[in-house]
Amino acid sequence: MSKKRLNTPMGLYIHIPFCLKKCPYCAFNSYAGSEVSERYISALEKEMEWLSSLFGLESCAVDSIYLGGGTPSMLSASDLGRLLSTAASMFKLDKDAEVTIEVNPATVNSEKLKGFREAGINRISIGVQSLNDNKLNLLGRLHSASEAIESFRLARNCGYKNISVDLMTGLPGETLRELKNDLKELEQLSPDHISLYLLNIEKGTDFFDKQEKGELAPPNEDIQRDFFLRASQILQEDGYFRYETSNYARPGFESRHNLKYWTGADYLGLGAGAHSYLAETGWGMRWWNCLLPSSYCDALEAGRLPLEGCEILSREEALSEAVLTSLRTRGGLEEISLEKRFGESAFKTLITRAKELVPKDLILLEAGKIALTDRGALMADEIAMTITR
Amino acid sequence: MSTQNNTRNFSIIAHIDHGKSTLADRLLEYTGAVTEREMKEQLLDKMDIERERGITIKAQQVRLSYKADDGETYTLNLIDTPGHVDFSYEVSRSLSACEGALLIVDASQGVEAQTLANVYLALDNDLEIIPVLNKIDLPSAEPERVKDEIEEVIGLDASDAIEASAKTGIGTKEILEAIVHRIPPPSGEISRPLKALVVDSWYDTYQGVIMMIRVFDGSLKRGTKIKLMATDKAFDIIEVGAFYPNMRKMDSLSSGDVGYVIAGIKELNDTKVGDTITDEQNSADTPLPGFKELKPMVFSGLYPIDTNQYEDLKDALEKLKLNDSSFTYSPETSVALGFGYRCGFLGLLHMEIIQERLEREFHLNLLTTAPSVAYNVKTVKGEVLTIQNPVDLPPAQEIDYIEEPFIIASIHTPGDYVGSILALCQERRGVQLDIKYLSSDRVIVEYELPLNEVVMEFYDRLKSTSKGYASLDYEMADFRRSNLVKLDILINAEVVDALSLIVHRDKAFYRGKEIADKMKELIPRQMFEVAIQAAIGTKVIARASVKALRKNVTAKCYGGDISRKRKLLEKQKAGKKRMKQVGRVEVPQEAFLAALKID
Repeated sequence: MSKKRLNTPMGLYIHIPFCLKKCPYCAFNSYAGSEVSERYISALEKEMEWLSSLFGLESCAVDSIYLGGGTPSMLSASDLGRLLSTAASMFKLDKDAEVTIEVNPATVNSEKLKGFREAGINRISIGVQSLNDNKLNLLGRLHSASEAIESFRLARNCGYKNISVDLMTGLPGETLRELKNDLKELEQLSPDHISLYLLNIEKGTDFFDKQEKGELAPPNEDIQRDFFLRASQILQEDGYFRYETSNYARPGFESRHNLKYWTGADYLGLGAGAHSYLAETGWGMRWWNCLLPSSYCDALEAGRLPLEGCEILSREEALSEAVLTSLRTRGGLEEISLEKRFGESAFKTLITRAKELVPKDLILLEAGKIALTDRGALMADEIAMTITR
Repeated sequence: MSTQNNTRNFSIIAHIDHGKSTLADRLLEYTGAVTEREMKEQLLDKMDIERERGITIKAQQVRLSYKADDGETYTLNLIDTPGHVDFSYEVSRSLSACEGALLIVDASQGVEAQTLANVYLALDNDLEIIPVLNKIDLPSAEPERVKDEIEEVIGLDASDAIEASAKTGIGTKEILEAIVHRIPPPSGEISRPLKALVVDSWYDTYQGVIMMIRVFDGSLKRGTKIKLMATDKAFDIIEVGAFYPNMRKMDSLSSGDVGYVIAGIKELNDTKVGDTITDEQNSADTPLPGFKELKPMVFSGLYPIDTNQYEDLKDALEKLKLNDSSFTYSPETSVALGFGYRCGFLGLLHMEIIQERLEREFHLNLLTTAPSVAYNVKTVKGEVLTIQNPVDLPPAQEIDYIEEPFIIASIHTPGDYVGSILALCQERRGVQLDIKYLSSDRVIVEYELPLNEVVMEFYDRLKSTSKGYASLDYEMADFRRSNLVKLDILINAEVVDALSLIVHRDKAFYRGKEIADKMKELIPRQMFEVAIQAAIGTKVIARASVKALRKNVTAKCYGGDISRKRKLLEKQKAGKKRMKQVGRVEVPQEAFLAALKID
């Protein structure tokens, strides 16, 4: 493999696939009931070492690290510290890198949050989901609304200046009043960043099984749409702007790490089931690790990469991804960056199709840019499919 | 060679499943035409499809030699006729080549609709009819009741009907004796100018067209220069012979004989069924009576589902046409369905058989449009147009009137279902002709019906309405003036050609609404509202709409989701590529099919 240095800083994603309890809506690669083992931490360190030397990334700039899960806040502060210092030794970690950890309110206390901060975390993302105990109950969360509020306050008190909160809406039976209350209570906490997700019932989850059995009503799309539009409006009034389909931030607090996914930047995914993307060869390549933590560890202990699959993108696939991801962002699809990568006619073809086929209230066509309105944001996948046909 | 006096030409009339082919097999076995080892069940039905469905499509013939109780040896020519109404012309030609016929009736089931039609054809041709009660060995056999029925329904003396079982061989000898003694020998003179009837013809890759013929007057042999009187074409005979049942060369065929002629003919169209062969040098004055040009009555578009199969479809149609001159095809394009062929058939069964052969023998995956019929359109300018495709119908203001084909349908049913069958026929614009109550479980209902109403799943409805008991037979009647209109289906104001149809004005609203509602169910939601309208000319008579899709986005799209999401979109895109674009609207093929199939 060529030792090519990447031009732009890349992101590191570290997956911690362990949870106290699996949430009934969660389709991520996570396993309930086990602790984060020493074995898993060492495997992560080995994988960093492997990738760094394989791709010659020792001097490659990393400007974001993101610990996701699962429940990464189950990590001890010392294990976290170990992982971050290994990362710093294998790559060229920027001084002001964004270092995020996802936190479940049920797993942290003041001491732990302080420890995380000392270990190098400067941004935390709290899985609040709702500030209504009924909703939390339906979502099978292990914490109450007041515990969520408490962990947020603790984090602020520990000095975190960049706190994000995850909220879930569009639940079966949820009313607009409940959503508004969630947003109102949230406003009092004044987070810097909010991820607001419409509940999506995915295969392999408890919710999916319940829905199949008729025990759970499927989310009503028209209601979800109204909630989304209303929430977007309320949050904007509160000073948060939507910079991606489900993500809102105060100016300057957009997630640097997540933006990499939507702008086609490089990232390495470490840990069981994690995905990596490098624009290194041709139209880009992607690989992903095996799902089971034990197989992941086995592979690394045996001196192998824990690869499950790999793909080298074609131009068409790369274009498809570019359209799919950029239409999710506020910046939209930009002529300049698209033409730089895909040639002169690429943007023209897309804009012609967009003009022809996409209803005007869904799309914003400015000079050199295709972006979506709030209504359009709800149709982003449909529009991406239509204009890349 | 046998003499004319010792020759008997006969055919077998029977309803499907009443045992015609099995009986033919017994006759072949008994007379030693085939050994048991050669015997394959139902030898005469050559095509798989015939054997499977128990119907005969092409005529078949076999020459048997039988030593009768009177000590004489007779030549018996069995001409096996096609068994379905779509081929009634061929049946009538086959029958006219015979002097007699065996009427096989199932001893428990009695006379069926199709049998009746063919018996009438036989009586029209002055044939001596020998009733045979088959399956007499079954415990459910009721020979006396069925004899009564034969007398009552057909008006035929059944007192000396032969009781037989083709399965066990009971009655085979009695049948052979009856053929010898009750069917008259062929009339006709060997000394008169040649007159031979083309009973059937088919194409053989090695020998060209082979004609099955019945000689009435004169004789023919290798070298005879023959003329086909309808087409006025002349050919030199290369070979004559008979079927034993395999083809066997003979020196000559003369008056009374049945056999085959090969004359280096390349085009099946030159040898029309029912035509008369004569000697070019010593020509007969008049042809044999009854010749008719066959015209397709039912039409349907055939489209390959995989557009790459278009050429294969074309080749397959050409090959089928080689052996079936009554079937027609011409290229057709549809905005909705792409490139295909509009095919013409004698009737519904003929259509089904062709479609099945295309799929089975040529491995084609076809999409078939709703069957339609041919209309005669008189324009205000006084022209008469034949319209086979609703798309070709001139604008309403240019039409003086439209005529549609009618049939006379004869439906046999148990009494319990008469009410619902009458309702079905009325609903299909039928005019009642007669109802005959033979007994509580045997009623014959006769109706005049527009063919247009019969081609649209009438048969399925008849079967479901009678729990499968009713049987249908029909014959073409004539063209009649009707109040017909063209019904267009519009999707977001664009007419969809493949969905246009010609319907009776009184039914237009109902049909239009039905199709619009069905399309509404099957067109997926899109980014805008889709309006579906049914219209006559510019007047919209029914409408439905597919609401705009409001949400299609994944809530979360992070590192691991991107390639999964992309693959999902690629898959959906591929699905969309199979859809047909009508304006901006994407319409799945199933929507067309369902709308076309609607009843």
